[in-house]
Amino acid sequence: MIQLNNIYKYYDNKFQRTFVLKDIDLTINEGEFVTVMGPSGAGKSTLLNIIGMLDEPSEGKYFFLDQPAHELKEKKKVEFHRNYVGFIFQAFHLIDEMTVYENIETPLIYKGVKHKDRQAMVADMLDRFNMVAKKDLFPNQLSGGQQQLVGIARAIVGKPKLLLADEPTGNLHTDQGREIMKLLQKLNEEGITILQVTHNEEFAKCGKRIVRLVDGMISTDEQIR
Amino acid sequence: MNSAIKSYYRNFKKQKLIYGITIGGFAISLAVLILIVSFILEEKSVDKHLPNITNMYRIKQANGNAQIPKRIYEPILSCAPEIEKLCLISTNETFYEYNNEKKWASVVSTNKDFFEVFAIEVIEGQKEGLLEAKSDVAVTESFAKKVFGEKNPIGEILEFGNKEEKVVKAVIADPVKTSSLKYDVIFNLEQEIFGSTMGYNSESYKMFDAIFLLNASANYTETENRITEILKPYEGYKETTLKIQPFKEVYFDTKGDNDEFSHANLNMIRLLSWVAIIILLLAVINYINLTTAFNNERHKEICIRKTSGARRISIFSQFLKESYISCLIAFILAIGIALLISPLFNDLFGREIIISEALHKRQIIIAIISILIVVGGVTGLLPALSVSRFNPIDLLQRKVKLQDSNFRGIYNTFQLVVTMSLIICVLIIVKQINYVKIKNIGFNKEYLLSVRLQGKTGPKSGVIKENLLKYPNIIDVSATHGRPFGIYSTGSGSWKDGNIEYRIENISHVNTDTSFLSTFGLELVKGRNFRPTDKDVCIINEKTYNFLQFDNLDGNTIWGSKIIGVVKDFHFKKMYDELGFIQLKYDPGNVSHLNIRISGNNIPETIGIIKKELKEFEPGMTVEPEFYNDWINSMYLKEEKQAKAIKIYAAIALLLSCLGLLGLAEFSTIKRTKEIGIRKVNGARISEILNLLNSDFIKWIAIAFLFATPVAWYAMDKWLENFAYKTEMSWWVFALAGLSTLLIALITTSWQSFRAATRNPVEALRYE
Repeated sequence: MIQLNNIYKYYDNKFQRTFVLKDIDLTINEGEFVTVMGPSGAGKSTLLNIIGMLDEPSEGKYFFLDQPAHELKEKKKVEFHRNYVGFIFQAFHLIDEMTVYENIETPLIYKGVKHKDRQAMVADMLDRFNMVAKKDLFPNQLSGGQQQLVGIARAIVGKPKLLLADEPTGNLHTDQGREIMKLLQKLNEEGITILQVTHNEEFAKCGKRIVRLVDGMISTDEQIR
Repeated sequence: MNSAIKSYYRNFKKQKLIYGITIGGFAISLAVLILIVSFILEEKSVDKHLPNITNMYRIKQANGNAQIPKRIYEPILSCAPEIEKLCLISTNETFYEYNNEKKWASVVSTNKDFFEVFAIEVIEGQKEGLLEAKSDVAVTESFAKKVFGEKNPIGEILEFGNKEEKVVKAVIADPVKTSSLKYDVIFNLEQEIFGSTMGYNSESYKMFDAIFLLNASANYTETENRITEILKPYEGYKETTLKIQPFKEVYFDTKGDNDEFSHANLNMIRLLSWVAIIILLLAVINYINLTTAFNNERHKEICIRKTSGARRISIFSQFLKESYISCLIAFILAIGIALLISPLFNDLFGREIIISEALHKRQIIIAIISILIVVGGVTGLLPALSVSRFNPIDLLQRKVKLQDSNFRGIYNTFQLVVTMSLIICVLIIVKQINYVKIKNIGFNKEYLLSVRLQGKTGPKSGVIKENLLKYPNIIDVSATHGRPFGIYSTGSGSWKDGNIEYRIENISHVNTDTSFLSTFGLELVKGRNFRPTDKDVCIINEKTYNFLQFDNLDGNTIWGSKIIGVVKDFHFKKMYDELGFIQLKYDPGNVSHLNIRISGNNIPETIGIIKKELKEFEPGMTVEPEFYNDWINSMYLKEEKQAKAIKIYAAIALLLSCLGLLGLAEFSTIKRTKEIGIRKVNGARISEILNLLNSDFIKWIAIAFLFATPVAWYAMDKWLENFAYKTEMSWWVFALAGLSTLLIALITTSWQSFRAATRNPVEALRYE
C-alpha cells in the first residue's frame, strides 16, 4: 500500500543543510498497524506528514497504492485526503466554533456526500462511540478523551483506507489513552491500515510492527505480532 | 525611549507592508483633512483682516438686493451723521492700452472715502485728495510692476476703454488673498467707460454697493429706519425697507449674487465640513482598527516580556511610545502628502491653499496635535489594555482567543456604507450633468457661436453683420442684447391692456433683430417674424402666450410693446429652473452680442474671419468667439466641481475601506489559521477555503449595500430638487456601485485569503 524509496527531507540554511529524514526505505502493506517511535526531533512527524501528503519529500519516491505520490498534483492530493486517509492529532484539532456533529460531518461535506447519507453516517459514528447525547456540544465542553473520540470519528467517518495518528494519546490520561488504543486496534481489525507516532512504549505495543527512527534514519524495524 | 525606537524599528522591518499601509492610510486622510480645514479656515477669515471690519456696514434692501443707484448717495449721507465715511463701489473688467498693448484689468470705481473705509495703504504717490479729479486712478503694486516695470508709475498715462486717458496718481497695496474685493485699478466713479464698453449708456444701469463706516456709538436700527424714511420720496424706494448689514457677513451672503464682491460657496463649505468630519472619523477608526488587528501578532512577545517580569505599566508605556512614533511618522508624511496634492484641490476650492501658511495657523496646529494625542493614545492603550489583562501563562499556551471581530465587522460595514453612498452620489451627479448637457434645449446649439461686442463694435453691429454674411461658411448672424443662457434682464410686474390687468413674474428680455429665429433655428407657431420697419414690437414664447391666456395676437401688448408672433418654446436658462417666460424685443440698435451660425467646414478659418472683421472696428477686441455648446456645458461647473469633490472623497473612503478590509481579512485569517488547516487536512480545496473566507466579506458588503442605498437615494433626491429637469435614479446606478465595491473589496482581500488558503496546513497545526 505504501512504499517509500530513498526518501530524504532536508532544509537548506545559508551555510548548511539540515537533514530531517535520511534515506528512508519503508513498505507498509494493507491491514498493518505500524507504530513509529523515536526521540524528539527524530523526524517521526515529518515522516507521517509526508505519508499523509501534507508535506513533500526533498528527494526520493513515494508510491501510494502503486501510484507515484511524489508526482501528484495539488488537486489529486485533495482527492487523496478526501478518499483514502484520515488524520488524528495530538491536540485533537477540532473546529472550536462547530458542534460535535458538525465537526464529524466536515469531511463528508468536502467529499460531496448527500445530506441524507451524511446524517446516517454521522449518526452511525455517534452511536458507535456512545456520543449521541453530546452531539450538540462544542469541543470545549468535552473532556480530552471525548474530544479525541470526536477527532477519531471525524477521521474515519469517510471510511478511509489509511489512518494517520500523530501522538493520539499525547494529551490524554493513561486510562483515556488505553481506551483510544483499544479503539484503534478494533478499527485495525476491521481492515483500516494504521500508522501511529507515539512516545509511549505500552501504546506502541498495541500495534503489530514498530519502526524506530533515530536522527532521521530507521534504526530498527521489528514485527511484534 | 531608545529601546522603544529600536523595538519599533524591528517590528517595522518585520511587517513593512502592514506598517506601511496603516501609517500611509492615516497620513493620506490627515493630509486631506489639513487641506480641508485650511480651506475652511481661510474662507472664514475672508475680509477679517480689514482694520475697520467691526464698524463696516453695507446698505441692503430687505429683499436681498444690495445694489443702489448713485442718486440716493447724497440723501443717505445727509440724514445719517453717524455714518462717518461712505463709499460706493462698482466693479468691472475693462481693457486698457499702454505702449500699444491692450490688456484686461479689474477695476473698482468708487469715491475717495474708499481708501479710508477699506484702510488701503498708499505706497507711493499722492496720499491726500485721491480720486478728486475724474481722470485720477490708483493702481496696485503688482499691476504697476506688470505694466510699467521698473519705471516710476506716478504720472504715467493709461488709456482705458473708449480712449479715456487716465493719470496714475498713486500706487496702493495689493488686495490680500483673503479679500472679497479684487482689483487692479481704482477709478473715480464719475467716468463713463463702462457704459460705452457694455454697449449701453444709461444712468439706471449703474448700480453700486454702498459700504460705510458707522460710528461705534450709533444705534444700528435707528440708522436703518432713518435711511428707509429719507428714501421714501425717491423713485423705486416707496415700498422698500432698507437694512444695514455688517460687512463681515457680506462674503457669506450668497443670496445677493449680483453684488460687487466675491462670495463663499456655502454648499461647498458645508459639503467639505461634513466630509472632513467623516474622513476624520473613518481615518481614526481605521487606524485604530488596523493597528490593533496587527498587534495581535505581538501577543507572544508581550507575554514573554511579562514572564520576564515586565509590569503592566511598562507594557503600557511601550505600546504608547510605539503608537506615538507611528503617529509622528504619519503626521510628517501627511504634511508631505498635503504639499504634494494641494494643487489638485486649487481648482476645487477656488483658491490656492499654501500649506506652509496653513501650518502657521494656531487652530490647525491645535487640531492636528489633539488628533495625534487622542489617536496615539487610543491606538496605544487599546491593545495594551487587552494584552496586559491576561495571565502570561495563558498567553504562552495560546489559550487566549483573539477578540471577536464584531467591532471590526460593524466598523467596516460603516466604512463600506460611506464608500458606496459616495460612489452612488458621484454616479448620479455625473449622470445628471450629462442629462442636462445632452437634453434637447429647443434650438440647435451645434456650430453656433457668440461673441461679445466691445468698444466701437456695439453700435456697428449692423455693418459687421453684413460683412460677415459675405463669407460662404457663415450661414446666419443675429445681434442680441443678452443671449440665451446669458440673459441680461428679467422683469416682473403688471400692465393694463384695455380693461384687463396682466401680471407676470420673471419674464426674460432679449433685444434682437430680424434674423434671430433663423440663426437659432427656432420655429414660429403664430404670427410673423420682425421686419426692419417694426417699432416697439415683440415676440413671446408659447409658455408666455399660454400663461397670459391670449386667444389670438390681435392688438395684445406687453408693457406697451405689441406682440406680433409666438415662438416655439426653447431653453434659455440653466436646467435648475423650469422653462421660463421670454420676450424677444425688436431693438437691433441696442445689442451686446453677435450670434453666428457657421457651417461645419474649416472652423478655425471661419473663427479667424470673424475675429478679423470685428477688429476692423475695434482693434482692441480681446474676446474670443465662443461656441454655445461649450458655453452651455460650462454652466454646470458648480455641479462638476461638486462631483469632483465627491469623487476625491469617494476615492479616499474607498482607500480607507480597502485598508480596513485588509485589516479584517488579516485578522480573520489569523484567527482561523487553525480552522483552515483542519479543513484542508479534511479534504477542503483551496477554492472552498476561499469561499469560506470571502463569504464573510460578501456578507458585510451586502449589509452595507442595504444601508447605503436608502442613504444615497435620499441625499440624491434632495440634490436633484435643485433641477427642474432630473435624470432618473436608475437601479443600475445602485447595482453598479454595489458590484464595483464588491469587486474592489474582493480583490483587496483575496491576496490575504489566498495566502491563508494555500498555506501548508502542517505549519498551522504543528505548534501547540
